[in-house]
Amino acid sequence: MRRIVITGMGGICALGHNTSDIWQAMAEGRSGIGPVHHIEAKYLRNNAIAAEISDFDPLKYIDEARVPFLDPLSQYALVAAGEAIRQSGLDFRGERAARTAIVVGVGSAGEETREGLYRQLYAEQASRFHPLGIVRIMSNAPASHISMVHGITGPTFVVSSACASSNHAFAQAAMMIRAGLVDAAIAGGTEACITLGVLRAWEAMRVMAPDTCRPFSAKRRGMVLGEGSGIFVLETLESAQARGATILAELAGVGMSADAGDIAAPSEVGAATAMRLALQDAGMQPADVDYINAHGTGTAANDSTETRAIHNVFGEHAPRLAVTSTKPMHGHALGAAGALEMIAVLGALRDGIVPPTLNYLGPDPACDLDYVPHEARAMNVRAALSNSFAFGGLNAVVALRKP
Amino acid sequence: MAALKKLRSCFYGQGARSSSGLQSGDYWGHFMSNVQQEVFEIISKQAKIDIGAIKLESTLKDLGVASLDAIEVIFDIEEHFNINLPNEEVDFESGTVGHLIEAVERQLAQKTG
Repeated sequence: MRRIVITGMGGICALGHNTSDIWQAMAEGRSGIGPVHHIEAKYLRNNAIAAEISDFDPLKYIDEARVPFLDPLSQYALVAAGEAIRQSGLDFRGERAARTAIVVGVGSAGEETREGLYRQLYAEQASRFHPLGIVRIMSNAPASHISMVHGITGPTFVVSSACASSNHAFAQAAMMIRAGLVDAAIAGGTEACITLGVLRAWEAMRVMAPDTCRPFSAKRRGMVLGEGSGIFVLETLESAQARGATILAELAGVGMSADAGDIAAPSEVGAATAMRLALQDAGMQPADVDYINAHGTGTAANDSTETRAIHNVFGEHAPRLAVTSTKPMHGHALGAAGALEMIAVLGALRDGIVPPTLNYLGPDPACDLDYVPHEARAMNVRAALSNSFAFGGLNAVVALRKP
Repeated sequence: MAALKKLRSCFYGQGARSSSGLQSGDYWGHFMSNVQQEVFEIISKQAKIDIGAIKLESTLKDLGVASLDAIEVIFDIEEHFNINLPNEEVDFESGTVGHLIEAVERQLAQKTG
């Protein structure tokens, strides 16, 4: 079987506009959560909070002629893909263009554009609809623009599985490389979900925390939305070695499952199955793993269910794992969650630093693992899992190993 | 199916307020006597159980209303009485129907303040 390595990473989120800034913030345990500023204050209630991107100027990264075609969703993906591709040193002249795939995870596309245009249509009774609405809103736009900007002509598409979208994208990209369909893939996720409509819709489900995100903690009250993108360059070990590229980690295995249960409530069996399959696919034993970047949304149901699933899979090794949720730093970026969390996992493998779980108030009897509260921990990380468990009962876990 | 129909009625305008199938207009003035009856009716409709099976000390969980169904019951109650029930007022784990009715009455009283 072809081994797959990661040779480039790019990202943008509330913690920064590139992966060095993002990883530094994660290692320092800084939070990007604050009062919402994207949306006019008069529409907000309950001291709305989110992990929003600040001071972002798309013209610093994207050709001026392209910007009018882009929802923020695609802008973020282009920023992250540009960084990842630069870092990898890959170029797509000649045959490589057709031997490279692009797979981008997206939870919900074009939210800002759609809300803006529908507001004009319904509320302001506008007589004309903006002609670029469709190309900004369509879910495949981020993948298409990456292909256009970088001249990549291989299989290119978006996958969508709510909060597991990014991890499903990594899995799909890995499968195409393993199958010999391509030799490299640009994979990750993007989400631009901090709009009034999306915020209200989440609030209505009663899963949003009014104070902050406190995964696995006593008195946790729910999740906080985030936004951004993480994009990575995956290629065969052979190709990376032949180029003399810097290898960040091996993408060793993937595991996927569906709960076939409740549309919202998580399932211990579904989560455990995905983790077990990822270990199996990677040829890892539970004791090989040192770190799990948890889904850890901060809701009562997710965090206790995920804890039980980890016990179920790791048995007596479970208490020796460092299990952290980085969502209190970058927020829950839905379709981009697994991609932003990949930045944390790659940092942990490379630098031997496990980013902490912030905002921890004390133990909940239903959450009894080592969550590395408050401060990062220096420790050797040989291998790690990154968990994503979506509404709709769709689970995707990625297993990574130190190069 | 019923839930889907209800969702559609919310998206397409005025239907939402009467989504519980109850008269929402004229509770004012005698709500203290009617709140309990109306909350019972909303729960019985959502849980598809006989109204006689609902006790003040039952939790929504006891009645088989869990996860999003419970969130939907709260939404129906909010729509019916035109109030907002903050998360702190709604305890899906151990809150009883009695607590829920008290919360509704508190919100109605605040509204008239």
